[in-house]
Amino acid sequence: MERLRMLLGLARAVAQARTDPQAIVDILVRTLVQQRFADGCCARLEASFCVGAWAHCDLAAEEYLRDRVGSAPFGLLADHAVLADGKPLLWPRIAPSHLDELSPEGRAYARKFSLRSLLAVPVRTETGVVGAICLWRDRTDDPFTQKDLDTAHACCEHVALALENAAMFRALQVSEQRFELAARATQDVLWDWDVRTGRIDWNEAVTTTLGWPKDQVRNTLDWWTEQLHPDDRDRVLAGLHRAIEENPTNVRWQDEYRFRRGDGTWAHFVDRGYVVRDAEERPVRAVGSMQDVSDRVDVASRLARREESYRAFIANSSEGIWCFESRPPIPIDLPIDAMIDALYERTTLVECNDAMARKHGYERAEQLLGAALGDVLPRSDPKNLAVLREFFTGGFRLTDVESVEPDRYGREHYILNNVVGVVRDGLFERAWGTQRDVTELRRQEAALARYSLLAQQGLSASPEDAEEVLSLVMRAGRMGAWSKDLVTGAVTWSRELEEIFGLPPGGFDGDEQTFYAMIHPDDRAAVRAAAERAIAEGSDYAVEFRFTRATGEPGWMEGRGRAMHDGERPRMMYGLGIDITARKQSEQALRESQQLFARAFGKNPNVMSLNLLPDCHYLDVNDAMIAATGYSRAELLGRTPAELGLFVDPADLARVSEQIAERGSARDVELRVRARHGRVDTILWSAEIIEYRGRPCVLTVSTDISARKRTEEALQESEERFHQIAAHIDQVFWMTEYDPPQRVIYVSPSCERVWGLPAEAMYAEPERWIRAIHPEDLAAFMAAYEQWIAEGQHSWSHVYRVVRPDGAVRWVHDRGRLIRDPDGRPWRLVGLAEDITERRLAERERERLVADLHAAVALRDDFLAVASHELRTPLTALGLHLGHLTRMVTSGATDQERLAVRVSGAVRQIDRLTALVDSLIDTSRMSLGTLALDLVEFDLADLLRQLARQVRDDVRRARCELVVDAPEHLPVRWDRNRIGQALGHLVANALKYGAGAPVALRVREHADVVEIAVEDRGIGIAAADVRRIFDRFERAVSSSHYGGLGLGLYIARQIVEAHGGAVDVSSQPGQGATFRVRLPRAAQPRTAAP
Amino acid sequence: MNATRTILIVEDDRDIRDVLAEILADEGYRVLLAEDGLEGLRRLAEGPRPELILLDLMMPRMDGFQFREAQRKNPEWSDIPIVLLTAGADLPGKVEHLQAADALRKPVKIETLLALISRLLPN
Repeated sequence: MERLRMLLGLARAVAQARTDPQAIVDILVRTLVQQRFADGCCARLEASFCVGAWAHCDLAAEEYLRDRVGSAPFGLLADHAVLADGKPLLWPRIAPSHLDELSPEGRAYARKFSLRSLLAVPVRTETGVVGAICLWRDRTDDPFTQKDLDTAHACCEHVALALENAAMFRALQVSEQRFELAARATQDVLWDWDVRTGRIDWNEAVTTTLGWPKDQVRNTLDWWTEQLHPDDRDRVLAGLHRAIEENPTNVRWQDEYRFRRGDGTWAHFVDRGYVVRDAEERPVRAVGSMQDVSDRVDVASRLARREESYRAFIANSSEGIWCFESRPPIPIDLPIDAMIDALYERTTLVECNDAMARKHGYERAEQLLGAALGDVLPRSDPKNLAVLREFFTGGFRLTDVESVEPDRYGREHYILNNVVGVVRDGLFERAWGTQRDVTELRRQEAALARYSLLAQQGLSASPEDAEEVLSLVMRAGRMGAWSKDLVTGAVTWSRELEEIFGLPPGGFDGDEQTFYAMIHPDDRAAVRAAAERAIAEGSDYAVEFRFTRATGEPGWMEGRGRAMHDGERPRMMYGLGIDITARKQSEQALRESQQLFARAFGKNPNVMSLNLLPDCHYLDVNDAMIAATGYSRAELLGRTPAELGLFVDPADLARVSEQIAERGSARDVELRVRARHGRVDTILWSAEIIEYRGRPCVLTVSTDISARKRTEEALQESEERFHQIAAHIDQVFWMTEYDPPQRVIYVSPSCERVWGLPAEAMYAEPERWIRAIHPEDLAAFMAAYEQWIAEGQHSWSHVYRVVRPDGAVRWVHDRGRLIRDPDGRPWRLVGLAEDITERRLAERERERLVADLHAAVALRDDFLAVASHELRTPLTALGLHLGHLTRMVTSGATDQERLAVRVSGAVRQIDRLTALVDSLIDTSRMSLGTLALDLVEFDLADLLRQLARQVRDDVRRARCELVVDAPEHLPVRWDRNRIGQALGHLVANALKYGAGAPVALRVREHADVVEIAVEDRGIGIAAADVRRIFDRFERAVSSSHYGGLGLGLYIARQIVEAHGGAVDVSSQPGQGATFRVRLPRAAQPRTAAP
Repeated sequence: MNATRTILIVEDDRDIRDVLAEILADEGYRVLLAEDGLEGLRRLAEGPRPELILLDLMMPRMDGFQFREAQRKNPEWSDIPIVLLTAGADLPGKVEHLQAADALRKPVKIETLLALISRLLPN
């Protein structure tokens, strides 16, 4: 009783502490010592537990244990041996030889505290021996016994059970914590909205990412709605409502909106969610994540701003800037002529600036946009075709190539072109270009060429020729001559000067005031002063001024001249007027362009630098670069990227340098750069060689894509989280492409538990999982699966068998869902496959049990009907005998013989009833296995003779003859009454079914076996029935023909088998039956009957 | 008395058959006996023709159902009324199914049986 109490106490205590292995062993050792089961006890668990505990009933000893050996390694008192081989140890009385097996600490303890008796038992869990408990007695002279060892074993079992629970609980806790950590680690705001209650749960990110103080966050839809940007609110709510109410196919909901941060600023979010529905398709929950894309939005808007400044630059450029686009794009592997044909067929001007338009005689870009290539670059001019050829053969690039282009009035312009083509995937898409009108230059060159040709030919120029050459030279220099008679004030202009001022030949009226009127009012005074000074001082006249041509066009002129003195007085003044409009314009353009560059460079949000070749030291850097690198301008200028260690991988520097040297530019190279304080960013880096203030430089632009990288990493992390969840569920989570549907994108590792194949095998061979389907289920599976794919149903469910490589068969319930992309197109298939083999087997087992039960119930009903009939028959006869007897006695009958017949008839019915009741009781007893044999030596021949006498009346009634064929004497050792009963049943059976024909009872002796055969020539038994006729309540024929409880053969068989014998039957329907009983001469009773 | 009235008893249990025969004989009926359906048909064939048949249902070789079917097929005997004597349940069902005049559930009381017979075979 004490032992029981101790075990119960231990079990209860351990159960309370079952999540903590340390607590479990503490309780164990304390209980064992407190209950006086041992004086001292120590327990140690290895494996993943690594805990130990000790206790002693004497505090001094316990202190000694704690101070000296508490921290000692495992194996204080021989328990290391127990741990090693898993066998218990029992030393009822410690002998000196035992001490040798202890550790030094153990020996010291044993000597000090005179150890007397010791036992140690292993702690065994599912995974094997994980520890040991050691118990000893040193204060009482009461040796441990085998019974104590059993008790210790029982204690260990409690501990082991508790440890298994603890391990499971711990694993669960770890997995939950991991998920929670993963959920917390993500910056995405995860939400889980119970649509029915309206409650929304948020993860930590609502605080960490959005900066909302915990106490201000509400778990309601209203709170979320309040924080939506007012401009976005209605749209977002309407979209969400649609996703929940009008979205039977459960397309993922996705929206982008502004959401208020805790500090009141707005964050841009992309929110994605799924609606979870119940079996009736009613929305139950919605779950999703809000991803902060403010960075991305910011970059996008900066990009838009950059685009704007680029547009402004194009619009303001004095050079023509244009873009021709070919639609559809032109394959670049065509022959050149075919490409040119295609180019003229498909190419239109998609972009150009006003400068370009002006060159073609228009004022604004829009007037020229949409023009076909042929309108701008006539095909009829062979020079243009040559230009295009050069463009195609020269790698889709032209530098300073001249073309001839007519303006809208048909005037030819000589154009200097720089063109860059965009080729993608072997197709020419568009070309960007700049152009400069060099018509004037070409005219001058032509005139000079002619003059120098005349000169070379040694031809002295005739006066006309000389005048023409002069005129040519003047025109080439954009100058005209003038003279002023300082006496009369008359002014004459040359034809060229008149041209410059836009006047027809002879259009100048000779009045100086006309000239001044054409000068810009602001410059008039200066021109007049310069002229007067030159006359007064006799010095050169040189002045630049603005003027307006007769056509209204503004221009710049440089006036040069000198007064000629006639003796004392100035008489004449000669001079030239040079049209410097072009120079002034280009100066202006340069100034503007430099200002533009400085502005675009300095304030550009992208990181930019200007590096001077050849060593690439920094010539200039913009503010963005200073902010991004953390270096000051002074620290950067004059140093090279290599000196600063900007490139994380020095090989990158070599790579891009080579690329720039080779192609003059580099585009969107992904690089990792290190800022001053060690932070590493990933950038997209582009570079271009340019000339800046006359020096070759590299202009670099980089975009920080760390934000994108971070998003990718977050995604990866979220993937990881998903993988962890998928890895921890028992069901197999899978995901395949929609097209082709067999391509496995993901399958959780648990597939190995069902398919017996590692997930890698599924990835490696797309058809592998289909091949694993049981051949009998394959056709149905494929039909259902293909129908699902073809019809694009939302969900799908199928049960099939899978054959593992080792041949084992598992039942799988597979449920799939079709996921659509936001445009509603089928995207992927995902599903959960559940191993339902155990459930199936259980179902089968249940079905079998139910069937058995039904059979048993039917058998019972059948039996009740038969039993009722069988009992009613003798009761009827008994009633009739007695009723008739009563009538006879009442009527005063005195015929003794007749009265005796009735009385003996009544008695016979009571015998029948008794026999029936006995059969039932026997059957019940046999089915409980409580048939007891009373074995005695007797003569079988004697029993047979007695049996023949007993059934004599029955034989007569059945109109049979009973033939007994047996030896004179046959001693056996059986239960005489029971064997008699068994044979009686067989004979009764023979008489019943073989009525009217002889029945034989034959006995044969074999060495140790006696065979008794009961033969009849009755209806026989069908082969199908042979097996069951020996069961309870069974008969081979309908109960409406032959009565009987169907128990006779059952009882006979039970009796024979209880003797160690056997009974069988051989029969042909209609030919009678022979029942053979084989019994060992001396019974060998079985220990228990079924 | 009922000396001219003949009753056929078809019953496999010898005790029941014999006692019934004696009781009915004491009441003045002429009694024919058969131990199963086959013998019952033979008795009908041999004559004399009974005016009433007491029929057991559960019998070896040919049961009461088969006997009744054969009897009804023969126009000479088909109008002989039947009284079922059975240990089974659902008497009304069986009466209707076999078109019996009446049925008695075993064990039967002699007085009930005699009253029924005299009702079916009035003087």
